[in-house]
Amino acid sequence: MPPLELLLQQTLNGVMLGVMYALIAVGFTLFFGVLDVIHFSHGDIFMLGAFVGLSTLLGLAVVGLRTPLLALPPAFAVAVLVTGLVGVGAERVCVKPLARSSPLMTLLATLSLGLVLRESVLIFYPRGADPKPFPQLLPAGGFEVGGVAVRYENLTILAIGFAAMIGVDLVIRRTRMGAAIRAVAQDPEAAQMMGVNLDRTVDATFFLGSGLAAVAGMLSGFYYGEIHFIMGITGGVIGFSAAAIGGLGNVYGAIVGGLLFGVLQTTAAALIPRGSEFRDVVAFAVVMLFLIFKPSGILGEKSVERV
Amino acid sequence: MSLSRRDLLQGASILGTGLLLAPGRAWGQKTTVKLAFIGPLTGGTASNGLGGRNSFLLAVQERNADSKSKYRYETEVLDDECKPTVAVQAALKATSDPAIVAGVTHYCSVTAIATVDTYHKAGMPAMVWGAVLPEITYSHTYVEITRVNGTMINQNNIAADFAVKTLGFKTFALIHDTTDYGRAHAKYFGEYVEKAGGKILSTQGTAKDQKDYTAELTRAKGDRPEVIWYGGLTPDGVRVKVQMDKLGLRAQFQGTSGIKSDTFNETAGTSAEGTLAFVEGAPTEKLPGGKKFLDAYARAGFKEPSEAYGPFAYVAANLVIDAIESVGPDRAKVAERLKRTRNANTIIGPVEFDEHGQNTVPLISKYVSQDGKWVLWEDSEYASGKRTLPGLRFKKL
Amino acid sequence: MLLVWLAEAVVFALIVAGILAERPLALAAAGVAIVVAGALLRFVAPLRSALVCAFALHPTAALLGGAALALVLPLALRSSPYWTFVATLALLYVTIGQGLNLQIGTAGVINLAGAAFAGLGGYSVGLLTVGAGWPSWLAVAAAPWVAVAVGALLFVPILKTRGHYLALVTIAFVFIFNILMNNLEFTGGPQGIKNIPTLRLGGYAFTARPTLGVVELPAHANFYYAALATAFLATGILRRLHDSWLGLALNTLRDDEIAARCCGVSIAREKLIAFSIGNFFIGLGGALYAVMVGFVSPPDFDFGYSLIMLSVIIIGGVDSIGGVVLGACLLVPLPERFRFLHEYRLLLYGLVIVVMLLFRPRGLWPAGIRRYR
Repeated sequence: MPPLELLLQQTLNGVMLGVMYALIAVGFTLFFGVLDVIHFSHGDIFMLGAFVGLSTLLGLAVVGLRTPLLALPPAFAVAVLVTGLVGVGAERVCVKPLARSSPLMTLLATLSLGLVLRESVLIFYPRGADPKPFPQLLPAGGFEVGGVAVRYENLTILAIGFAAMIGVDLVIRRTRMGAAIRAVAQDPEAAQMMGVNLDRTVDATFFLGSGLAAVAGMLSGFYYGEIHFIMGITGGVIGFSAAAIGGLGNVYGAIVGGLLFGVLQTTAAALIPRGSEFRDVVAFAVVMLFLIFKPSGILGEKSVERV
Repeated sequence: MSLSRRDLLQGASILGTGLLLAPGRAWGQKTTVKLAFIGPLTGGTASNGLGGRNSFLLAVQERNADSKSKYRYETEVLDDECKPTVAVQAALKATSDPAIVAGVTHYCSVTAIATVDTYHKAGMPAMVWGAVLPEITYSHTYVEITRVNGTMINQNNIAADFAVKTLGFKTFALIHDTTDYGRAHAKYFGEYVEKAGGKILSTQGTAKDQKDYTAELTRAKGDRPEVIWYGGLTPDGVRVKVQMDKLGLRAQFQGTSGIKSDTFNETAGTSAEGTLAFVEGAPTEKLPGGKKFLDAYARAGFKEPSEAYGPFAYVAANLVIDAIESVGPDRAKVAERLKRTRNANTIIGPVEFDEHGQNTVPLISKYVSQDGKWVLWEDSEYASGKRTLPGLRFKKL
Repeated sequence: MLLVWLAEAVVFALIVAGILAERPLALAAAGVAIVVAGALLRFVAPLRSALVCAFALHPTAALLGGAALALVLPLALRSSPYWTFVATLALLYVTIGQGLNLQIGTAGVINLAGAAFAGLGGYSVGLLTVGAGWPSWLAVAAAPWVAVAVGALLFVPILKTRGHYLALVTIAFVFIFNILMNNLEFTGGPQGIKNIPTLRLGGYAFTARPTLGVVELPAHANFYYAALATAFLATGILRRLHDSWLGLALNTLRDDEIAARCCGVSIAREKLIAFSIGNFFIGLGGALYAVMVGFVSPPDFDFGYSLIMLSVIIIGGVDSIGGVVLGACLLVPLPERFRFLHEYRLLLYGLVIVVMLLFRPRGLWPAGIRRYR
């Protein structure tokens, strides 16, 4: 058993990882809520968000905006906006037209769309095959509490991540659009009869989810110091897994699922012998067990079948 | 400079026809010979594959522009995606085209080992330009397979001796990717470290393209190693080093040939400072032809940099063309000729193949990252005592 | 009847020309010919209706003609072992696709772990021959049962979960399988298992180049015929199953589980039967692949290959036996033909799949409505 400070450090590592997973998972769960589909290219949308953020930051640096306070807000705004619009585009092209046919269709279509996004970045981004350094704008330095290294950067990332989640929560619970999203999630036909514009609500949902993925992408860039065009593959699979163990359709479930997956991966690597080789086996096995024993997820509603 | 009469005659006749007819017609007199290049052009290791491809194309362009060449060379570039099945398909495609006489093949160890039998069955000479797994040449005695770059055995012998005996590090934590490349590196490095009197505190395997290494690094940190060693390729190496710094891990970082790329320094930024890496062959820019290669590469205007193994692909292409020039475009003869390469003068130094087709003049160069560039250890400010390696600085604390 | 054979011969000639054309001019000519043939079929109504009529009238003749042409394909491709290999691979995908189609198309049991079950077949052959010293034909016969047995591990999630959740379970299974194969010692780690002995029947090695009189066939021709026979058998068996009571019951439970239960269909039993039969054929495809290539390694069976298998049945036509054959024969060789696009190939592949799904969501050869006799 490793000493306590290492355990605490590992927990912090897991939470950092979990916050990014949670932000991706919320997107999956929102899309599932309104359209009953899994949008598999969401992982690559997350990657795209990171690249849009990077390009904006580089552009701002050319203009002379290099201080964090001046550069960060516009960079986040542009990344969220552009990625959100790409997300809406993906939905219009690939998800909505197929939403009524079997889930297999959307599955294959969105997986292929993810491939297209990934390959496009590889080919069309300048030297896209290489990992790209991400500007380090978050406060450097840190302190140690009882042997646990805490960096100001980590705290900032946690703050931004949780702020984004609270923001989404507020949008969903306090705004008209949020009410529409909840209504469509519950019963699209009834919502339409009550005057909810289905198309606009779906667009808004995809904008919201994709924007969150962009935030996750940028945070990942700040945390790891680099981004790479393949980061969306694992990001997508894990985001989906997190959303599923939390309960598809439930935003809080997705957050819990994301944090759980991050901590699970880290603990597996930290505690089990040869754990780092098998950490994803452990994580995915737990996902399978969850789906067997709690098929609707931790916070998912128990679905009652109606004939 | 000495010109034989034949060269002069040939040159004069080409010049003559060139003046009489359209310039392009001069080429028409030569027989066309095709060469294959196989490497990863898509996927995570694409930057190395593209660098190798460009270097290969550069060599072929130069020989085509050379009026002394007896043949006109065409190229067939194939992508192996760093996957064995795709590699076997690409190898089959190359070998089943009778116009292709020889190939410059594979960067990833897993693809090189998978295709050895394919080339042997088809009797097509294939020269490996980047894969470092020993078995690629040492598991058989096929005449078709040769390799210009060294194996990981010598590399790790030198690397371990240097770290333990020269620099005086005693304790090591190993992290490696779980591909052939990372696993075998960790095995050989571990063995040589113990032989040299060092101690391996922990060995952890990680998936290729893993993003988060904080768990593994925190676990290693518990043992307080003097050196964190990573066996794997650039994208992952960058992540290990950057996250090491963020976790406040006070240890020396040492890598293998896989991280000795320009991309490592560009992406890791200030974190790269003081990183050690070991590569077979003398540094390109130090060799008589190396400067010329880099200049020619820059002039050719390729989109991607040549990366660490570009020069090997360039040399492999040149050796293959030399063999074709001397024995004619016949697969069996070219294979025989290539295997008997002795003391060939190339930009990576003299090349000489043993009975397994392995280049036996493996000069290992030690590099340290200094101010965002890979500098030969002997020329660095770390060796001259002007700067101190991070690992040695931490030791004093 | 002559019209049927003529049409098949034209298609055959076009395919061979398209495959073997190397020089840009020849390639362009073949491409134009294919486009012209397609356009003729699309826009000249009398020709189309004549052909449809002829094929409907003489199904046996059409089948015989197709079989004869499939038999002579290696002869036409004899200059290129590579294309024989690709053709063999396409036939293995037919076998795999038929198995997967029974699970996904007929029974609605979403299985994204196709690569893992093919891998189980392949690895079993590797372990049984190289490790335990079995003859390869015996290993090939035993390997599919391993896929079936390991598939039993997924019985509980299959009965408990549905739709997207089931998709996730099978995705997780593929990842777990891949990591285990890569990191365990007895499976050879990342290098996999090499030097798997080739198939031998009565002392005749399948790697030998068969000769027909004076003509020597390409190196993979034996495997081509083995794969052709397997694909033919698999298609036949699954066609019978699809048209049987089992197929009907599976269709019912796919469309509405509660209604199926009301009609006396045992959901658990039927689903497990379909899943196991499917895994058998997927494992068989993987086993044949292992003896043909002579080695297996983890990247040969990663999630990406599950996707190719899935696209084979979706692009062909979900629940359509003929569609699987068509899908495999298009989706395996076509990307190979477009290898000269290099970096742009995968991008284009993704785009084509998306466009196909949008404009032909039911596949190229949609499943017909069941006929009851």
